[in-house]
Amino acid sequence: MTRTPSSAATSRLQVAILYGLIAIIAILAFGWPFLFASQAAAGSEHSGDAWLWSALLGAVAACVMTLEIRRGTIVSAQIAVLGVLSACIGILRIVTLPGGGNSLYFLLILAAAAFGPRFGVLLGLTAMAASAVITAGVGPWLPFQMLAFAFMGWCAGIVGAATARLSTRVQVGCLAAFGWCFAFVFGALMNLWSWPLIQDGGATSYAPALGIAATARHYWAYYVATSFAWDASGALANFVLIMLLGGPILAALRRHAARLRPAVIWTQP
Amino acid sequence: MSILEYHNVGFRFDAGGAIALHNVSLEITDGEFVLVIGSSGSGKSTLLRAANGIVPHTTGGEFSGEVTVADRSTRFHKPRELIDAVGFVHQDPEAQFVVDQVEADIAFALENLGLTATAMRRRVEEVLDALGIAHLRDRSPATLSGGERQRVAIAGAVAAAPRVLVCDEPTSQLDPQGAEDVLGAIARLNADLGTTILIAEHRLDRCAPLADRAIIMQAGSVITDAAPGRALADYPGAPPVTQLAHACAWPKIPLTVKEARGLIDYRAFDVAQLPAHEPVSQGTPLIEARAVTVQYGARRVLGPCDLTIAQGEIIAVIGRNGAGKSTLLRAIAGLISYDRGEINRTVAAAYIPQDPNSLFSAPTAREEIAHTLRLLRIRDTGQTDTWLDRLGIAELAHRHPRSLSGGERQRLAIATVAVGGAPVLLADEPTRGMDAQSRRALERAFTEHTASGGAVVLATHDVELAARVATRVIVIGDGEIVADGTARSVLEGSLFAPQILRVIPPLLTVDEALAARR
Amino acid sequence: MSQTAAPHPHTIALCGWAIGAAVCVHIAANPVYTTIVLLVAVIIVEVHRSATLVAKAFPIIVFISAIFALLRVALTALTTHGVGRAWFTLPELFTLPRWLGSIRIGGRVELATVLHSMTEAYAIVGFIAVFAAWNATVSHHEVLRMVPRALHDAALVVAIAVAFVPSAVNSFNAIREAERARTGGRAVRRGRLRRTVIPVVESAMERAILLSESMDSRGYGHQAVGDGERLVAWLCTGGLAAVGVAFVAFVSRAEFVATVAGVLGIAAVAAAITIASRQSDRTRYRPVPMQRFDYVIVACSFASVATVAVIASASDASMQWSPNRFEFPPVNPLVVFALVLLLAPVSISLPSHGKSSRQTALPGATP
Repeated sequence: MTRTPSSAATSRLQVAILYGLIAIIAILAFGWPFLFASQAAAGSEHSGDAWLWSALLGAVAACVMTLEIRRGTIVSAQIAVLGVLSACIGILRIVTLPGGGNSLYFLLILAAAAFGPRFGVLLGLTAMAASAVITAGVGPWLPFQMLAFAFMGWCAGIVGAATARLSTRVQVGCLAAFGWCFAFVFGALMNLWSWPLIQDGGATSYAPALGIAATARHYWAYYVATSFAWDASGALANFVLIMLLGGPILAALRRHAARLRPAVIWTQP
Repeated sequence: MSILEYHNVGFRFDAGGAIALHNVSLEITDGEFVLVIGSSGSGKSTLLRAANGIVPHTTGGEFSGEVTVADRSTRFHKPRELIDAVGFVHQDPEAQFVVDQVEADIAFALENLGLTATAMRRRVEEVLDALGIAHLRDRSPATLSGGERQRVAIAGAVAAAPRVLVCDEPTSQLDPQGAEDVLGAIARLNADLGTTILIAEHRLDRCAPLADRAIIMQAGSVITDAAPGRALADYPGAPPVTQLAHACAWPKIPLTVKEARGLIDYRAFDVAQLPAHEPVSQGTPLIEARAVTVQYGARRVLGPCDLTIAQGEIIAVIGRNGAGKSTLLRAIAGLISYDRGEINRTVAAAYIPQDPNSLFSAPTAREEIAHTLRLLRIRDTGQTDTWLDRLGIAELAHRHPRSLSGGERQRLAIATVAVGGAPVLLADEPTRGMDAQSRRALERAFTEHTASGGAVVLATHDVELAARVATRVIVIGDGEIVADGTARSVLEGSLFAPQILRVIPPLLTVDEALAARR
Repeated sequence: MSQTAAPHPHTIALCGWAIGAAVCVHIAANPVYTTIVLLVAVIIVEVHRSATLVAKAFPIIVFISAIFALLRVALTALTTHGVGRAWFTLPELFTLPRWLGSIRIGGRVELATVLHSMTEAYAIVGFIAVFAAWNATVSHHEVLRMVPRALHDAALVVAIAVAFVPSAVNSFNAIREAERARTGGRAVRRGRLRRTVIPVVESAMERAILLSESMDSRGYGHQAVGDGERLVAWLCTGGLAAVGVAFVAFVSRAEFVATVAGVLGIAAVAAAITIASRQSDRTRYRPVPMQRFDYVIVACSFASVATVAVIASASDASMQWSPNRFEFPPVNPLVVFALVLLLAPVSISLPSHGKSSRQTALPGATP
């Protein structure tokens, strides 16, 4: 893609605005139960439908994000690497660890750390989409998984960039710690999506107009009861995997980094 | 009229790094079939990839000189703009598909070109017929054999009707039947459609007769550019008849058995000197397999087979794909369980897998070999160096295994397994995709290993290898051993016979023929 | 590509069906209605299941969602102690600490709560089953090909990923064997993870690099993008902002603003995708046209949703069923009829429609 230099500054601003908006939309799509928590929304007959509409919101955000891929220069090597890594992550998703947890984060985190935040965002989007296709899991939940995973890829890319100057061992340690934390963040985000699906008036269920504090308490109890153990096992698995494999995998990925941004020098003999 | 020109082309992958191409100038005429040969790492792949600008546009690097194809310079045209000039196929049949359906994958180039639906449909039908793969159209590439996959890849490369087809070792990962099909398809494209072919190959006995011209590369430069007969005359990897003709200074250099038969003077060879009966085996038996049978469900894939492996033997197991060669080796190695029969191992047997890449996880070749010793809790008393030397990879010891060429990786894989000290080595297709230099190193290593009291079993399609090194040849068909004896007795009169045996029976190899010269 | 003998509904028609059925399940929250939709999903999977392995996942996904639903019901039953009629009383196990919301586990279990929870949970099972059925019947290959050209890069990545899975699995199996071969059949646990994972990643990266060369020589790449690109970016920005406003308005019950902003926002994003798609001159190989029965399927799904929605807005008793005791839920025959309309995709494989099979409909079918 060619872009005239004069428009570069405006388009950078535009990209910033766009990503800011995507972030706001994503917060709305995930966090709407807390919006309905205010007393102002009391008695709203829409609280039952909100999750359907939030699915649409998530889909629009994921769509715009995917449209964004076209803007930067994307070369075939990036597409191919995204493809094979997405396949690997998709396979990892099928493999369930002894504790019931899942080890799909570690490769995303390492790839994002090796190739940067933008690559992390793209890999997050495509890996979730690919794994949904592989496991027959395409549905209204997919945009949310994609957004949450892209968020994780972005954060991992930033952690990777921030620790790039440190020694590999320290960097791997940071990434492992990040992976441990983010396994819970990811679990909490995905639960936030499925939580309001069932509004049965239970003590851990979502109900409109409970007030922020009560909503948070219900959600917290729900999360601890349903997913904490699962997420903890996933977090531990990712921590261990990154600690054990982080160094060699980062090295393996970085050896191909030059191919993702081919630089050509033309000289005369 | 020239279609592809290289003018003083120089290239390095990293600015200031090692030179991949050095001052290459070439001119290839429309419709020519050009064979590029040279040992691994001689710059063949880089030369081929420069034809449509993958080097340097996709790879990045420092490029000098100019490549012009169909009057367009790769300096100003990216690969996507040269899609109607050059089609490109590489060696890995598993890494050329973007869609998991044959027909849709072939259409990928046409979709990128923006052809209309009707034009595309017609081109795809034509290409399917030209490559003889119309029956595979709905299949997923993952379910195809290697030879079929490569033909699909060629179909995808020629879908946009390029004038030049560039193939980088297209048969190096295939069995002989698959290779035959692929080379046949390429020859047809050249003969029927007039497509110019630029191909790098190790199977010279098959490929050289098809070529109009051969280019030999060494260290990034073209060192020979001549008709195949002349170019191959003193090339170490040349077909045996060519080597023989060169050594005997025949007036004309043959490339095929047929040509050689027309040129040979039988009076020049004394075949009566051969020992009448060579002993089959004289060493102590190391492994004895009795009536071994392997079943997958109800299907019997092997046996009942009887096989005794004795000290000092190099046994070549030949037979078509799926005949049970690998199964026999795996059963002996203890990697799969057998359903009936028994295997008595007095010593350990180690299996060298077909794909060397599945072994490598260490940062250097030396550490890779040392890692095996660590796994087996054996102290390194110089074994690592012994095997590095034996396979001629000592100077590569500090390199990353993945930075090695195909033949070098194969040798490293052998060293990695063999260093464990198992007296019996079982190698599955060890010479697949190997250049002449690697093959010689491998043969030497196996001979040395058996001389020091071990034994080697090779599952191979390479009858020339069997003829050169095997003390015993076994033919497997449909899971059963159908022939077992010395190389000469089994290969004589077989359709698998090596070239020299067909020209001057009962001699097997060039060395034997030269020794028998009057 | 539908080369199969039986006619198969178009991907878009199946999308229409899935969205229609899902919305119906959501509006008509009544176990009888949910059961009908579940049965419809099962029948459609039986008739139109795709030939791939993925189609086998349908019962597994439904089973998993049922487990999830049961857990939710159990959680509610154990933690919720209303003032209504008690069904039975469990021993009071313990009360969670304050930081966990001081929730009491065990105690009085109220029948109404459990029944209400079960109804809701059952509807979710129906909802997930509808999408599982969609996944089992649709060809993902076809879905990826139908993605607008502007999103082609992303679809291509997913297509490559799907095509790469068998290769990755093979290389994994080869590595496991090589691992044992290296030690003469003995398994060494120490460092095994590293010896299996590193070669998989290394091989995958090597293949990706080779694949990129193959893609480039087959014409993959971007053309120079014109002025439309800036318009696309602004449309995306505006569209996103409008959708966000719409959702906030929806929450604060400003329905008019929500509708207008929502429609505008989605239209802007759709326009952005259309304009961006126009800038690529990529074409599509063998596009599958929609047939008459595909339109019928979409129309039936729409009619079904519309009927259910209209009946629901008339405060139908069967749609707001909240049971206090075991009883058979009220059923409105009109709703049942509307839900049976969702069986439309099955009708095309009936013999009377045999002639209009997809195969003959393809332009210039296989010689």
